[in-house]
Amino acid sequence: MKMETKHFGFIIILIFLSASIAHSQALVLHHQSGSIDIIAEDFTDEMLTTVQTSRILDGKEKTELWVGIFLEHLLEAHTIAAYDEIIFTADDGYQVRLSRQEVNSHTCLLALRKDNQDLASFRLVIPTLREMYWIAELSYIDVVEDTMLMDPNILFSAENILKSLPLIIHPLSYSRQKAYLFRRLIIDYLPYTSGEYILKGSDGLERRLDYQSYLKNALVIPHEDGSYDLISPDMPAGMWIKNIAYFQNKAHGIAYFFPNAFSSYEHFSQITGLDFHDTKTEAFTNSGKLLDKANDWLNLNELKKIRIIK
Amino acid sequence: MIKILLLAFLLYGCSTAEIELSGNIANPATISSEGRLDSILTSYRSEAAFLIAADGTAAYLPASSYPYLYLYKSDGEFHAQSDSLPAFCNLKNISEISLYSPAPSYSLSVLQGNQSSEIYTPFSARLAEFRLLGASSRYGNYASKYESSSPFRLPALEDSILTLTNDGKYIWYDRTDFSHAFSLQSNHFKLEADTLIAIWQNPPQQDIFSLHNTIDTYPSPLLVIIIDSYGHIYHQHLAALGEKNYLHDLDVQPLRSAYPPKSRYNIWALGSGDRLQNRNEARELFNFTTFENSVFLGGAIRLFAKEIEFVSAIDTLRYNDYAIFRQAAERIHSDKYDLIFVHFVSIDEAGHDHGAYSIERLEQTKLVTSYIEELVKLWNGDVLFVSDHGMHDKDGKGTHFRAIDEDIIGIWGMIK
Repeated sequence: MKMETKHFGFIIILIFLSASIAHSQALVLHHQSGSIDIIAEDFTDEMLTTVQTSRILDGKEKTELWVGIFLEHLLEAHTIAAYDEIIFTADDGYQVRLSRQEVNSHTCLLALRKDNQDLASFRLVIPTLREMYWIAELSYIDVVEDTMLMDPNILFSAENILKSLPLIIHPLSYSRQKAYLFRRLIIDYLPYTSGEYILKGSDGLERRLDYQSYLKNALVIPHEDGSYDLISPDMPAGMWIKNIAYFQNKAHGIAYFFPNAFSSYEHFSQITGLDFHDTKTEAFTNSGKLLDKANDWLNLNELKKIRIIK
Repeated sequence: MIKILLLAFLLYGCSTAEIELSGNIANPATISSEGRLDSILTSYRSEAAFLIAADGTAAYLPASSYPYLYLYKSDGEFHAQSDSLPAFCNLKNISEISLYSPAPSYSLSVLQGNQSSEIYTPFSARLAEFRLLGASSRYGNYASKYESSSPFRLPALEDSILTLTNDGKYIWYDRTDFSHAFSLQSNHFKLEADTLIAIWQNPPQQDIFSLHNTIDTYPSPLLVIIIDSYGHIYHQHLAALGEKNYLHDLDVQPLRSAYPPKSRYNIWALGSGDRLQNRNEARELFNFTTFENSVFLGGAIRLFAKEIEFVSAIDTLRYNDYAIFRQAAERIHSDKYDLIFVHFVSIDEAGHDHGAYSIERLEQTKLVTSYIEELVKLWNGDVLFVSDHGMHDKDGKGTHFRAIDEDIIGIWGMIK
């Protein structure tokens, strides 16, 4: 189960090359405002850099010299500054994802030449990361402002679950207000609790919060009008979500909704991005009845679970 | 020579490549046949699968994506192929598939005693050994890509930890010894040779086993009231609801129950000071020698020896705690007994029938605690009250068998 770690050493030699790149290696750089075709000929000599790497292959140290453009320089050249993640895709579909933090903490070179030989296409070289990140035949770079959210395939009525949970005295309140523990709401229904969650309020306000940092000790506060607030001692009051409507762990397709937070089916669709009219669903009611569609707003309040079938 | 080479080739070509099945499954298993993932996993109820390749890369698939992944053998190894899933699902040399089921056969609770426990399953623990690289979709089929990171570790633990294994054994460990004895196995958590199911951080000081000795050595007449299923979390829940009862006026302390948190195991612990798993048929239960005349009223749990008068007939009807209350009041009036056990069961019955947090259970609690208040007034002596376990809700019905706060923390207290 434990992976062997390879150690790389690298030296960046800032040589401004005069040599030209013979082949027209190309890739597509995609970001929020559109796609840009990147071809090697566009790079001036001043933009190119040489990076020397050394790695252990078959017990022997192998030194390689790469010529290319730093990713950060490419992004700067196209005035791309705001992003959360970059997805690198090769011709064969192989993908590597790097968060903004990872991009900032590693040197990422889009190499065009190796040991004085032109490469057939761009290659991603990250000397401080394992070879699995060194994508050959790099053809697509997607600069995304948000990591992909998996579409939900099961929705639970959070209110329904809360009915079966114990209340505690709200530990942050002086008025002995009652509260549910957020972790109890999710712990029996998710494959794992860690990771980032998308949470939405009835007013459309969206927050992306990490479980360990913000949600582990969060509370769900019930109100007499049927609404719920999500608060946490681990976040400032300005981040609390009034009248929470929907939340989902980003990495898997299980989501929760609060029926009372929606004024209509259209409101539900607007907030959740889901529309059951064109989707095959199975819906389970509180009484255990199985409905073959969950597109009737009148019964949404009665539903315990909705399974979306592709 | 040619024959030997041919045989070697055949053995290599037809080698019994296998994939280990792990995670939230009852028994570890292996896959040795090719086919679509949904067909291969048809006998395992799972909602997600985590496919792990020998090189440390891995893919997480919801069950809806199973039909789109094909497992095949080549050169003595298993590989995955799909034209409808993200390309990273085409893993080479798959060594393990960990399965997620919402009802794991084994789990590990890290209990704090206040609902803030964490529950780990073999699946979630295995997944925690990997780092999420991102999610992707193809033709509407989603999958997440992972890479191997570091071995599963529990969060920071106290210096001294109380462990609970699935045979009901409680053992204290110091943190260092525990970390050496603990390991994640294919489908369970192991502590030395046992299956670990819970770790208590700062557990309740009192356990139900030692209450046996408290009763046995009690210097004066004693009324023992057993409130079936009235857990400490439920007690706090009622306070949060504003539905306080007589017990909320008393000094109520949490009590560590015997595992599994079921009446049979806990009444045995109270009557013997030992685990039901150590059962010895010849053992005399409820044989409290310091008392001359004892009676046990209620409870259909047939564990008792002859040394105590056991009145169970009154408990043959459900929701019959009023009859138990009347019998107890009569025994107290008779002035004949110096040790009386009264076992009220209707809070448990209402929970099983209507839900752990149902109105019906709340109403039954009000009734039973009013009986308790009356008996305390009638009894001329000290009173020990104790609950055998708690209860949690599952699909609208109450149940209690898990090593979770709601089930395994009872209450106790003395009224002097």
